[in-house]
Parts: sequence; C-alpha cells; structure tokens
Amino acid sequence: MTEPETTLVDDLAEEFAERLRGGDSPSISEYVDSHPDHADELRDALSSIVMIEQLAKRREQDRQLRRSRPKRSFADPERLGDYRIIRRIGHGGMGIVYEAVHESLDRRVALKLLPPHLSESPRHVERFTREVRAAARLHHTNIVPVFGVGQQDDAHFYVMQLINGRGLDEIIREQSDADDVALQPDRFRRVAEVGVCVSGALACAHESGVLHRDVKPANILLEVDHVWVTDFGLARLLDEESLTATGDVVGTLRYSAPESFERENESDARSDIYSLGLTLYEFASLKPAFTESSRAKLLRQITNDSPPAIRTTVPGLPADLGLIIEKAISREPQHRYQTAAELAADLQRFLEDRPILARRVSQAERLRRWCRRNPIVAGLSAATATLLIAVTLLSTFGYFHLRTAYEQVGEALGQARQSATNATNAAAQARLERDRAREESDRAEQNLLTALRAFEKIADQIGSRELPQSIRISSDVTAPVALSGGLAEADAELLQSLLGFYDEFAIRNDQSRSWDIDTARVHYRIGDIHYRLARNDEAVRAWKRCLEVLDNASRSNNELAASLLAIKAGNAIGRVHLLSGRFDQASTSFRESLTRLDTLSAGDRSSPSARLARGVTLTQIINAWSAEHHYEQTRRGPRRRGTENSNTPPEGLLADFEQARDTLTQLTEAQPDNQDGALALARCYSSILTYAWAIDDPQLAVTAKQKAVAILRRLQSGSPTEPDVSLHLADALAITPEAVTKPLSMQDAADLYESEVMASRLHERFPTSLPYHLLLASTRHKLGAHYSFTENTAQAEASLTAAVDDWQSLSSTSPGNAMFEVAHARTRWILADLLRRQDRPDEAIQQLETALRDLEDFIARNGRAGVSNGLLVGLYRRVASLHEYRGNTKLAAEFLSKADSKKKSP
Amino acid sequence: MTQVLDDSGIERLRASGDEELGVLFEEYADRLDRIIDLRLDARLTGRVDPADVVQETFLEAQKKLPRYLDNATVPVFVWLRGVALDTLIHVHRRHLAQMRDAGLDVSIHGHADNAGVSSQSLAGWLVGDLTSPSQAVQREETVAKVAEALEGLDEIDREVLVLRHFEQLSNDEVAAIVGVKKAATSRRYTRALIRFKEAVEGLPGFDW
Repeated sequence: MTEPETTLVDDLAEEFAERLRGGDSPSISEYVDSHPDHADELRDALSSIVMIEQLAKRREQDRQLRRSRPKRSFADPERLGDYRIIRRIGHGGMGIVYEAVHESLDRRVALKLLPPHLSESPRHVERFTREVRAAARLHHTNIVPVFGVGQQDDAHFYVMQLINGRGLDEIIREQSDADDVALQPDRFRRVAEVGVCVSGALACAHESGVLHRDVKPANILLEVDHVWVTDFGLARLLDEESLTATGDVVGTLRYSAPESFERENESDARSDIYSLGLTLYEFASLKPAFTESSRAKLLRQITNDSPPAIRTTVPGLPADLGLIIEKAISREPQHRYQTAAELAADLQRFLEDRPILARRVSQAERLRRWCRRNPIVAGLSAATATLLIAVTLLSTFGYFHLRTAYEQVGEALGQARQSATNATNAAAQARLERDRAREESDRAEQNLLTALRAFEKIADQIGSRELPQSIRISSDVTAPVALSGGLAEADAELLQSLLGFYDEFAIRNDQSRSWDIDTARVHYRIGDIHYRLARNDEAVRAWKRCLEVLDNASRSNNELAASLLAIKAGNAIGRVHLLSGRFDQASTSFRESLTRLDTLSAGDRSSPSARLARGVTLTQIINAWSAEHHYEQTRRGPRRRGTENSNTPPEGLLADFEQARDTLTQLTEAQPDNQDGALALARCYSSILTYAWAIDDPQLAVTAKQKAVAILRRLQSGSPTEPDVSLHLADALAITPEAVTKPLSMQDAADLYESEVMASRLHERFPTSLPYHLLLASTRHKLGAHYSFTENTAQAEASLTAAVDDWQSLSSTSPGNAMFEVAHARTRWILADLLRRQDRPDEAIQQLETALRDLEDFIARNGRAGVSNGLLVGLYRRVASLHEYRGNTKLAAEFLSKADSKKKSP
Repeated sequence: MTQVLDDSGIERLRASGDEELGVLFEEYADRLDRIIDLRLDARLTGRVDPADVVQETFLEAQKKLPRYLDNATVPVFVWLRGVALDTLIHVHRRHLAQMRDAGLDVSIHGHADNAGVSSQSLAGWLVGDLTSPSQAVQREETVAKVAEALEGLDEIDREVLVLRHFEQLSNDEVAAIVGVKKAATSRRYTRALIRFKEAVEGLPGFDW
C-alpha cells in the first residue's frame, strides 16, 4: 500500500492559503462541512492559517511598498559599446563602476553605469550628459579625468581614468577599527594634505563654474602618493524621488550643507566647502559628524544642530586644524571660507606652521548666530532685534563692569538705529542727565522697555519649565529632586548674559519710583533665569526681592498687575520649597498667594486673571499635598501602602480641590475661549489624579483622568500642533499607579500607549527639551513594565531597551540628577526580570550589574543624593540569586554580602 | 539512490548557462526578495536594501553555478534560496560587526549568523503606520499574539510555518529544503498548524 504523498489537510491548506493571498475570503466552515471526517483538524488548521497569513500579509505589504520602485537588471553587461567589461569594482547610489578595456585604444578605464531607473527618463539622461561633459572639461592634477559618455541600448555610462586607489570612506573605516591610529603623529598632517588637494580640485572646478555637489569620503580616492576627486556634478541627478529610495543616498545627505535643504537651488561653492569640511571632520575624528542613520532624523540633525566641536572631541588634534575645519563647516555660508582656494591656502599655512586666517568664532559671535536662528528673535522688528543683539554682545563682553548700564543701552540703541533716528542719544543721555527734555527721556525709556519685553519673550522661549506629573515611576528616590536645569549650552549661555543685563537694570532702578513694577518684574525674571540654570537659592533670593519691591511700592495705579506678579513670585518660591522637600514652607507660600487674592477689591478679585491665579495656586497646593504624601510614604518604607493608609483624601485637600475646580470651571464657562483657564483646569484634574493613585483610589482616578483628558483633547483639536497642550495631554494619559507592578487595565494601557506615541513625536520635534524627553522615557518604562507583566515579551524588551537609552541620554545631559539614575536602574531591573523569565540569565546579570555600576558611580560622585538603600539592596540580591541560578555560588555569596552590608549602613 | 529531479530549469541551465541564469533569476527575484526581506536582521532595516542582497545573490550564483550543475540535488529555486541565505549571512556579519565597532550596544544573537526568523524581526513587523492609537493598540495586540504564539512553538514547527506562509513555499519546495519526503513535511506542517492553534489559545486574553 502506498502512502499518499501529502495529507488532505495540507492539500486543502495550500489551496486555502492561495485564495487568502489572492484577496479572496474563503469560508472555513465551507471547507469543514465538505470534509466532516477531518472537521476538527481542518478547523484548527484553517483558522491558524487565517491568523498567520494576517501577519504575513502585513509583512508582504511593507515589502511591496518598498519594491514599488523601478526594477533593475541583475546581470553585469559583458561589453558596452567599444568597452569590454572586466570586473565590477564598486557600486553606489550613482551607479555601478566597472573596470573595462577601451578596445580600440587598448587602455584600461573605469566605467560608471547610470542606474537603470535613472536611465529611463529622458530628462535625467540629458542632465547626465550635460554634467559629464562639464566634468570632462575640468583639468586638474587631483580631478579624475573623464573621457566621455556613452550609450548602448538603454544603458548610459561614462568613462574615466582608472584609479588604483581606495575610497577615503574605506580608509576611515579601517583606521577607526585599528587601535593604534591615535598614536600616529602625522595622522593630522595627512588630513590637512588631503584637504589641500581636494580643495585645490574644488577651486579649479568652481572657477570653471562646475559644482561638485557630492563631496564625501567615498568620492575621494587615495593612491599611495596621490589624491583624486571623482564624480563631479553627478549628485544633481538625484531628485527627490531617488533620494528617498536608496540607502546610499543617505551617505550623500550626511555631507550636505544645511542651506541645500532650506532653499532650493541655494547651493554654491560654499556648500562644497562645507561638505569637504565635514569630510575632513570625519577623517580627523574617524567618525561622522552627523550620526543619525534614518533619513528624517539625519535631515533634522543637519538642519538644526552643529556637530560636536571637533577641538574638544578629538584628542591631540592641532588647534589650528580644528579651527579650519570648524570654519569650513559653519552653518551660515557667509561664515565659511568663501572660496575653496582660501581653504586650501589656510590648510597650507597650517602645514607650514604659519599662522592661519581662520579665527575662532567668538562667544559673542555664537550668541549672535543663536539670535538669528531663534524664531522669536527673527520675528522682532529689525531695530529691536539689533538692539537685543547689541545688548547681548555688550553684556557678554563684560563692558557692564566698566560703564553704566544705561550708557550701554544707549550704545546698543546707537547700533540699532544708526541711520533711522537719534533717539539713541536721548537714551544714552537721559541716563546721564536726568533733567533732559521729558519727551526724549520717555522715548529712551520706551526703547528700553521694548528691549525688556523682547528679552521676556526670548527668556520664555528657552526651555519649558513645567515638568510632567506622570514621571514618578519609582519610590526609590528618598529625597525630592529638583528638575530645573537641563538646558542646552547655548540657551544657558544666552540666559546667563540676559541675567547680566537684568541684574544691572535692577541695581540701577531700585531707587526709581516710576519703574517699580518693571523693576519687580525684572527681579522676578532674574529668579526665573536662576531657577532654570538650576541655582535655586539665588532664584528664591531674587523672587523675595521682587516681593519686597512690590510691597514697598506705591501701586495704586496698578494694584491688580502688582498683586498678580507677587502671586507669581510667591508661587515660584513655593515651587522651589516643594522640590526641595520643604512641604510646610511650600504650603505657606501658596497660602500667602491666596491671601493676596483675598485682599483684592471685589472687582479685581472676580477678574479672569485673578480667578486663574486662584485656580493655579490651589492646584499647586494639591501638588504639595501629593508630594508630601509621596515622600512620607517612601520614608516609611515601601510596600506597606494600603495597610496604614486610608483610601480617601483628607478633608482639607478635598476642599482645596473643589475650590480650584469650581473657580476654574466658572472661569472657563464664562470664557469658553480662555485657553489658559482650560489648561489650568485640566492641570488641576491631573493633580488630583496623581494624588488619587498615590492613595490608591481608583474611582477618583478614573473620573479625574476622564475630565482632564476630555478638556485637553478639546484644546488639542483647537490647536493640534501646540506642544504645550500635547505635552499636558500626553502627561495626563500617562498618569498611572505610581510604579507599574501589575498589568494595567485595558484603558490605562491604551492611554499609556497613546501617550508614548505623542511623547515620541514631541521629542522628535524638540529633541533638546527636557520635559518631552523625560515624559517619553517614563512612558516607555511604564509601557515596558506593563508589557512585561502581560508577557508581551518582544514589546516589553523593545520598550524597556528604548527607555534605558532615554535615561542614559537624560543623565548625560543632567549629570547629578538622582531621579534619572534611579529610574534608569529601575528600568534595567524590570528588563532583567524579563530576561530571566526568558531564560537569558547572563543578559539579565549584565543588565543588573550595569545598573549597579552606574548607581555606584553616581553615589561616588554625588553622594547618596536621594538614592534609596532599598534599591541597592534589592539589586544586589537580584544579582546574587541570578549567579546562584547560574551555579556560580561564589559570586552569589559576594553579592549577598554586599547586600547585607548595604542594609546595615544607614 | 540520488533523487531524480523533475526540474526543467536545470536542463535549461545546462544548455545555456549564464544567460539562462539571468532569465531564471528575473523569474525568481521577487520570491528571493521576500525571503531576504523576511530574514534580514531587524537592526539592518533601512540600512540594507534587500534588493541589493538579491543582486549580490545573483553574482554569487553565477560563481557557484558550475558546481551546482555538477551535482544538482535540489531544484533551481531551492538552490538559489540557499545562495541567498549564504549571502545574507555575509551581509549580517559585515554590517553587524560594523555596528558593534561603532560602539552601539548590539549583542549578536545566534540568529544574526544563522539567518533565522528572530523575535526581533517579528517585532519589526509590528511597526506599521499607526492611524489611531487605540486602533494601533488593538492591532498590535492581535498581531503580537500571533507573533508570540509563533515564537513559542518549537523550532521545527515554527520554521515549517515560516517556510509555508512567510516565504510562501510549496510543500514540494519545503520537502527539498528540509531534505525529507513530501509526506513527512506535509504531516509536519499539519501538526504545526494544530500546535500553533493550541499555542494561541493558551495565551492569556486572546479572544480570537
């Protein structure tokens, strides 16, 4: 008896799967009914196929999308026209390069074949021919000679001299792999020598009106004693479509000048200089200046960031060479070498140990550029912008110490309005001669005020101060941690110089009555800047000074504005107390603000801004309750929640909450368009939501979250791109029970997921903003924890790994912040548990040991700074038990004893 | 006794070699692309274009053709598939070694070297165009369950399902790849489908 070749189920399954792939929806029961003998087996098999094919189809769709590009042919040609192909020597976005023999001349050549998808369009072919002809006219010792273009059937190619060299890209890769490169003393000279040759070649081409457009390591070929530049002008063939298509093109993007993305056809000789600068940067540092690998991220990096300053990142790099490279890669074309010949000459000077012409971009210059890039500054009137720049410059140079503030402002004004008006003199002299004509003095003051307002806008623009509420993921931070700071260096620098201006202003005007409110406002601003520079004591001092000025001032004419400013300052002080764990003092500050509101006249009291202030202040009080509860809880020790804890909020808190809610609700009902009011109301609900989870009151939490989310969604639909609203919404969605120690509800998980999506978009838009990144890190952590408790191992691992990266990058931007360190360790802990469950103990051990090493390093540098003993003990024990599991009893004992000794230490 | 191959492709290749290989390759290119796309390490998505690997495969196949024709034990497609996977292993070694050297935190798991379908490439499938977040959660959970159930299967079962449904191979081809009789792979396949169903049902919260 012969066995049938295949099973019945298999036969049917094959047919069934075919139909599914063809877009049919075959009915399982139809198959099952016609084969009742195999009904069960068939039903299981076919429904499995439906599921599996669903996943397979997803994959297939993605693939088809990728393949919707033109096809290429696979076989190498044997000959093209008069050329016999010998072998392939390389390929890139611009085609495949072959070694070939020109038969009638019997010489070896290199032949580059245009990719088929470019050969198809007549427009491309025409451009190709034109560019190659232009390149063929170039004669320079460092330019690979082009012999001509050719065509056979659909294939277009061009022919050039065969170079027996290697691409600089390959050489860089090889050197970066070798360990002893750093020790080679003439390495940097080699960089400069290559730079001289390439810039000479570029200078020659530019003079003939040919731009290279694709200067990059791969287009520079090195022979033992010669440097060649190849592929002039060809990048022009890459249009938008092919830019998105091939991976090789990212290689071209990586070296493209920022202006080539910002404005069309804006590339000029200086763009080639930039690309050469980046190439030399990479050759000197052995890593690319811009590292992103995805097209979108790379574009953002190129257009927004400058590469790390090469003189600080490459040990041993001669300073002059660093300056030359940095000048070549200035973001603004006018700050670069204006011609390739200038670059060549400076590199030559460097090689000959003569002084170079590149001057280090001064700090002031950097500030000026920062101002130019900043959209707020760009939006100011030209005069004010120049004034701002001038003032910033002056304060940076430290002239304030030599002259009086007003003189400088006068000078600044002079620069600002050189030709337009002579109010300048008025401003300067008004300071020196108080009794000058009143009109002129007023105008001078007006100008100063304009500058003040401009500065306010700029200072507001720098960094967002409000931090997400949802970020608490661990109770292992035993001391409250202030989260100010985290500013980009350029921002901090600018704030610092504004601070100089404000300080001087405040000192000069303290005695002048007419400037009371403005002086107070300046003190407030000084505090604000200190706060953002993470100098909390100075911040509080300035805010107190602001309150003093306000209390001593006659302010009959603007009672409300003065009170509101006082409330802002008082609340700011309260916030610092709160972050420093002085909960009583925080509450006192907030309550004082309420008292100020109560003493306003009835009319002022019911004004929208006063109501808003009341709501915001009360919300801060709720935060104080919540923070106090959190740290009390932590101090008393973890995991005892629910036993000593009542599940209802204290009376006082509820009263505060209700008052805040009602005030803000009335405000938003009366003024439906009042965005600030709506936002404050949402924040109020978010605050009570945080508290609700802290005391484990799911009912209150669910209601509060619904309210907050509903308000924020409405706000967001009104202004979908407003980052503040998105941040608050993402934040509200991410508020979960403090530490995710069990699976979340479906709703909470879905919210968290949505939050992660939003946070990652925000972070992509504002990569240097701390709150967005923090929110992203903590949502990924929580999502990872949730997935891990629901045994979605692949996603859990992905989320947690991403969170680990986030924490690492956060702690590198704000070193010394215990919260990031602890969160980082926590994330690795959960990841380790996950790995252990998957029976990957070695990786788990690695995670935990890394966490411990980082924490120990942190403590060595910063002291305990709020890292709980419990966390360390827990980590040691985990590692110990994993070593035990791996059978390594000696290591296990070692870690256990570490745990014990930590436990004994205070 | 050597297996008798009923494959007209081999005869065509014997008759006109390289030229015929080009023709056959065009015919199989899409299927090879699918296989490479599937087996490409998730970390290389976006860096390595499977089409390039297909092209490289062709060059390799040209080199290896004479040896194959000397002793052809599998059909042409199955042979080409093998060449493609070898090529892919080289690609993985090349790129992943670079990534490690560049200081990125990449650990080379076994799959990178044996071109298996890994949990990472499974996870890669989950990244799609997310229309609405809640929809995405839903879809992600369902698809994730399927992926998870697949991962939970023993290696042979999983591989059989991957070959049949992701690579879209026929029973004949699977038999040739695995090197056993058709009846045996057929039974294995049926069994894998049933085990998959059990695995899915065993996952918590799956309401298919």
